[in-house]
Amino acid sequence: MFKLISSAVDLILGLLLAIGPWTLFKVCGTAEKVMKCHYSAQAVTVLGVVLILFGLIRLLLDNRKKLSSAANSIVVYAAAIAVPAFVIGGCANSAMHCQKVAFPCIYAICAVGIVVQLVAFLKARKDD
Amino acid sequence: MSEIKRKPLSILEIAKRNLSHKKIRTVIMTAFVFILASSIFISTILVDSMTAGINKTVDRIGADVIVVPQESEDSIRSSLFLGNSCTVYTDSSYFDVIKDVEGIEIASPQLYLASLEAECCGIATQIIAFDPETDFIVKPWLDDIKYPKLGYGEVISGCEITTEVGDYIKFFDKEFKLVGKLEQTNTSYDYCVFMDFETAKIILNTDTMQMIVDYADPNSVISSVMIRIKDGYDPASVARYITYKLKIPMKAYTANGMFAVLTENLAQITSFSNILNILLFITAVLALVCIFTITINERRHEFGVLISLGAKSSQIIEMVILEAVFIGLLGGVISLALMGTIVFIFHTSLAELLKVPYIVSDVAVILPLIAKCLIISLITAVLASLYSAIRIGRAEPYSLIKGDE
Amino acid sequence: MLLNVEGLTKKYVRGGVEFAAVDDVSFSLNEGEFVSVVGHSGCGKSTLFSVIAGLVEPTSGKEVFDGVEFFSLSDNEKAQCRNTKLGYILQGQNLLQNFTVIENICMPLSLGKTGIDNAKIEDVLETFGLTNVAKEYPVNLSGGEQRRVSIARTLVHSPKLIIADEPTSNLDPTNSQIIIDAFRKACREGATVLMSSHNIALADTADRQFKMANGKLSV
Repeated sequence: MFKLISSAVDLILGLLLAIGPWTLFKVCGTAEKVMKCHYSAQAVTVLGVVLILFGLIRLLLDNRKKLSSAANSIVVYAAAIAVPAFVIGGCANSAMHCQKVAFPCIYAICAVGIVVQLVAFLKARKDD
Repeated sequence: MSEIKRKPLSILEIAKRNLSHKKIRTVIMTAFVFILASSIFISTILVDSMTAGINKTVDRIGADVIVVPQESEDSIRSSLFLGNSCTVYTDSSYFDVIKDVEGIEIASPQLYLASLEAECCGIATQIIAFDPETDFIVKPWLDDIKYPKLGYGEVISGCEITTEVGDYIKFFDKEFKLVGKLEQTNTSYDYCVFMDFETAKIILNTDTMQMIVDYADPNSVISSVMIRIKDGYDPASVARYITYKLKIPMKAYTANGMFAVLTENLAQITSFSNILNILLFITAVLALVCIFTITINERRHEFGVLISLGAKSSQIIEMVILEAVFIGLLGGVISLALMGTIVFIFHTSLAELLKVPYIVSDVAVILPLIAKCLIISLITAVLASLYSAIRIGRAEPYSLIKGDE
Repeated sequence: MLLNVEGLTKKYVRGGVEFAAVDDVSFSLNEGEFVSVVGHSGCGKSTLFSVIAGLVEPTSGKEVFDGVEFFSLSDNEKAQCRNTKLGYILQGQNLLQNFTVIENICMPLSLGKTGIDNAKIEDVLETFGLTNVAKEYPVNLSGGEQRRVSIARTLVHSPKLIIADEPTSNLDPTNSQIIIDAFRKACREGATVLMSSHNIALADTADRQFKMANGKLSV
């Protein structure tokens, strides 16, 4: 049951990270100029796709491999936080939409993902 | 079977095990504590943010009396408090009438102009023009950064303006050199750009601004007059005189009076939030008392068995109270972690939603608040369990074993 | 003499009428004895055992257990007694559902904060055939296994007096025999067993039989 939950979480959160910065919680537009937040969003999209793949693969794994699988997801979520926070970043003005809405949503999604996968990791370790 | 190495279970471990094996019950009880702790945390953050915002703004204004055009009070207040940029103007000749009023030590005019978006990635900025000869509001902030005197076409900005010092910032297609930045004030000044009236005339004479500022001579406009009162004079009396005796279309407010509406709102919000928190506390305690009473009653036989095995009544009481402590801690910690994370991540959006300048995030404020919420969570849970714990501890063991109520 | 009971009485009020669940009971037990009490349901066996174990205050009477006036002890002292010198096996299901077999067995030691003798635990598990289910929770055990855990839990701290209320009720002959054998073994090691039973044949295997009816005991 928990295996299904942790896979579903990666699938759903991965999807949110992949398409969210362009739809639900958009970064700043590129009409006049392409800004750093656009590149951050692209990187986060790639990481979101990676999480979707992890979610699919985990459905097929046995217990022992679930340990490293959950740890992998945690690393990807951490990277998805690091990219907009300091690796690439966004607009300098904290009132811009990317800083006010898009990046906080990304951080929140990744925080949820990390917590769920941490629980999955500890559970898989206990079952092992 | 290889040796079974066992250690005796402590009452703490017994309590934890009882909670972990009755997950639904534990979750429900934790939820009540969670709601209570969250409510206290969020309402305190909100009230503290509003209070800090008002206090900082009133302190930062520096003037005893502010005179604004009659219909522009809300715009100026919103600009001062929330940083919502506005363009406000009235005839600069009114300044000459005001400055001679008895009791005024010094009066200084200011001009508020809202830029359009400066660049593609900028946002509308509040431009504040001041008179360097008479100003006593902006200069004290500028003195800290040791800037050279503002020249023609030169500006100073708040810390949130993205342009680097030494670069040029564009308003209404005119470029201005940024010669300095204020440190963070956590007020609307962080989003403002300051210039003298001579530099402001560059903007006032652009085609765009001439369409916005509907005046015969755009160079003879001001937005407000900032006044410092002489010692021995009452600011409220001077403000009343200016408003009712001078026969000019301007209104004067004391610094506190300007934000009286906000202060009243804040007092109302504080009262509502206190009442809500008290009600929530009572609800949580009552709900937990009910749940504890019901579940402890259901477990009478279990407690009887423990006593038959040699448990002392003090151990039974300790176990029930420890279960309550865990529930209080669990609910409190989860609530604070979740609410703290949400506030930390979404603080800018929350400030905008709640119409406060900023959300407090000082460690000196947050840590005591977290401690307060945790203590209240613990007290709630333990209080709720006390009645049941003591009843069970005093019950006759045989009646517990039989499950008699 | 390990236990001496004189004039033990416990009265209740039911429907406004006072009645004696235990009525002027007197007897004594020696070390190493295996004594059974036979009587119909409701004759007062459980109440008598609970009074002896200090789980309910008597209306009147005296008990001297291991040289001590038992009813003059404080509640904490009685609890300590139940933890060390006295083992009480309750009627029916009385395992702690949130704890495994081994944790249930060690519970008296946990409550008394006594150290755990691992060799003794293994011996007890083996005696009652519980080694394979040591880490199971009671919900996963059969009725017979649960009862055996209950008995094992009482014997783990090697009490001087074992009070067993219907220990073999609803058990098959195999399980019943395991329990009786364990009691016999305890008696050979110096413990005294006071057991109640509906089963006359089983009760007859004891060294002495008491009969109880309407709260009165005949030795």
